[in-house]
Amino acid sequence: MTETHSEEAPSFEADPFEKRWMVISLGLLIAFMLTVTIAGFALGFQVPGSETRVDPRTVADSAPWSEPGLRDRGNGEYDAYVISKQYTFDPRTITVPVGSAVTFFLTSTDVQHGFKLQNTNVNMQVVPGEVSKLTVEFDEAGEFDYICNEFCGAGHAVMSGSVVVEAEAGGA
Amino acid sequence: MSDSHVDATTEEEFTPRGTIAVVGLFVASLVLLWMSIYLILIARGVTI
Amino acid sequence: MLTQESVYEVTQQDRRFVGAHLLVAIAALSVGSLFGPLQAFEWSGLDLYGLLEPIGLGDYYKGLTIHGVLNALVWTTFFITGFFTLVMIAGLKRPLRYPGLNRAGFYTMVVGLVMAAIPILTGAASVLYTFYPPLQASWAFYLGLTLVVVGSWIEGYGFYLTMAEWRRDNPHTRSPFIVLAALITMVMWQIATLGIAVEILTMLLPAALGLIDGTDPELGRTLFWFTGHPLVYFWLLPAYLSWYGMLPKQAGGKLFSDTLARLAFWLFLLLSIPVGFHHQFADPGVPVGWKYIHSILTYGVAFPSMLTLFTVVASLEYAARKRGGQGLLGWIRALPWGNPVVSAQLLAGILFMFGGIGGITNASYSVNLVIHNTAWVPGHFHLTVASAVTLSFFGISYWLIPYVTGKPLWKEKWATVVNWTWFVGMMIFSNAMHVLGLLGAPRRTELGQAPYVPDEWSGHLFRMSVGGAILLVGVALFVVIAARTAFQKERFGPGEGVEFPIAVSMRDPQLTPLWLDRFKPWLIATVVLIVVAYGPQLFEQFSNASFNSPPISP
Repeated sequence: MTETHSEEAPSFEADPFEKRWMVISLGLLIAFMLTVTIAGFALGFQVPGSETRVDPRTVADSAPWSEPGLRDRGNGEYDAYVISKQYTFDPRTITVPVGSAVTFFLTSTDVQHGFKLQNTNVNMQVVPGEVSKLTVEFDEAGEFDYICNEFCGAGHAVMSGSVVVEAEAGGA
Repeated sequence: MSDSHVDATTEEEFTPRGTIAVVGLFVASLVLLWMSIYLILIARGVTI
Repeated sequence: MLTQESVYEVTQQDRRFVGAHLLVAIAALSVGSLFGPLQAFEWSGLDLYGLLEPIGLGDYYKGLTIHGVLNALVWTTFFITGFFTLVMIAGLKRPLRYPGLNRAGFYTMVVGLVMAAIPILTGAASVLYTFYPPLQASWAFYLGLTLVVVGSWIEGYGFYLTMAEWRRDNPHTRSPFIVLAALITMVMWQIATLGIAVEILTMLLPAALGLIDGTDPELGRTLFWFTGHPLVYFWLLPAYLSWYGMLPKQAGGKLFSDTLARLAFWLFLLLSIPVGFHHQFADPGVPVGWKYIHSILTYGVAFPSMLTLFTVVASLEYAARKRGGQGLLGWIRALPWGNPVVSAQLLAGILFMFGGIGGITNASYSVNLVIHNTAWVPGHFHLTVASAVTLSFFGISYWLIPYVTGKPLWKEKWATVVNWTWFVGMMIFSNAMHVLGLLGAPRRTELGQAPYVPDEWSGHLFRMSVGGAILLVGVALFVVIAARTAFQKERFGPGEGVEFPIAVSMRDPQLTPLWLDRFKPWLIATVVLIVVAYGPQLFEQFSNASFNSPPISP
């Protein structure tokens, strides 16, 4: 280590301001990370995780995927099974009452697709052999488009559908 | 390093005042823009 | 024995070899860039693909594949290997140890490029530059890409062997910063590309040849992104090399800190690779825990970029103050903006600050759901690869082409125009793309055909196509300048010419600690971190792999 040409010995030196910047930038990154950690793991803004695996060649032959669509679980909770394939979602329209919490389950029977439900945080990669799952709560009536946002072939741009959130008709 | 009022022209006296200003502007933009996207996330509702 | 005092003149052969890289790179850029504005116009309602139908280029996604492969993969890889060749030779002041090896690497890349280009142009590989399975392209596409990567490895081996010989002759000298930076980049690339190599050799190529019936698409994604994120650092680090090791000299100053410049590059080696799951936040098949860990590590790789911000700006401020710059921010005007080599890199750096902010947003775990697979993402990487990298490479070209051809830069003022055109065009384009993404516009979609485009998007779509048009003007002018420079008759006279730019560090590099000049500890740490951050999930996905997703041609 004494192989230097000058009298000074090699050492880790940094400008005092740059040292302070290192501390500040690390602090900033840690603050951001804590913020997203709280959002993700405490407040319910979570990304999709690892669900069940399926066989893309046969998945549409048996339940629940043989009958895609909505399942009422009661208490305003629904499961929506949506199959993605070139170049359509099945079903193309899903209707729920306002105030519903809908858990989307998606899989693909051919290539990769995307599932982005506009104006919500539901945004998932749909991969053959996997099931993608996220939940959303519809607090307002209206129409929410879902679009394929992963390139899936020539007709990719037309692949879309919509969730219709109806204002409580019979009740309130 | 002692006299930062004079614009330094030699290495010994050089204090990166302008750099601190640029970095400060960067941090301000970073926090502002990042927070605005974070708030969009929050506004669009939970996913679980 | 060569000593560090020895003077090695870069030979004509060296120059021609570097020039050959640049020729391929700029040719790729000139073709690939034509498709960018076509896409932008299509989005804003002006569909010009019908006009290209007679020459077989009427397909949006074929054009998008060409744009991605030529601009993001070919322009970058050829430019980088060519630039690094000269960095090694001029930085170490010695010839390549085995020039034949580097030549073999270059020709392997060229063969690979031609092999991949044929299926792309015939429409047998319209799978975009991510080629996610089970989308199936021709075998030639995968083999061609493999050869391009392998060729770049071989050129890297040539660099390592040249360095080894220099180290034998100079055991006690700190390696020149630019050489170390180039080598770290190549080593990082070498490790990172193992992911894509495994994906292609175990799944995509066998499926294309009919040897297996299907692939495991999620495993394919994990392997792809093992390479896919460090790929962006493979593009970016050569620009950083220039910002740290050359720009201070070009601006009339010195490198503020050799020590921190080296530290930043080692941190990039350590942290560029084990971060790939941040591209898969929206994926099924990857547990949230691993996504979260990679989110933290991606924040980690932002740190050396923040160091870079300080060191590079401080180096520039030092130069500006020496040139008489005054004031807290007024010194910025004292930088040599009239020199296109400098202004390109300054403007690239400014655009990259916004790219960095967007990048930290992308890395922010569930915040990513807001922008995943939206127009925000290409908006973001046009600030990185198409600005920080491409605009810096423009700046480097303005001295590098004269250096290798011995001919002066054709119309220097026009080069300044290119830089500003690119800057303004990209500001408009990328801002519009980011906003569109936040509004929900999907990326890589022939949007003019889509039934779900709300009126709210139209103003931004128009703005984006204006930006695209300006960028087309900029790149066209760049190609003209490059070509006119290289193919003009005029040569440098005696005593004229371009000096190879090496910035001197304010502190003697010999005073930088030895651990910032040795590969071994950093390589060990890099491999350990990859094993820890990727090992368990890779093991999980490999042991549960089902190759049951049949290939489908788009």
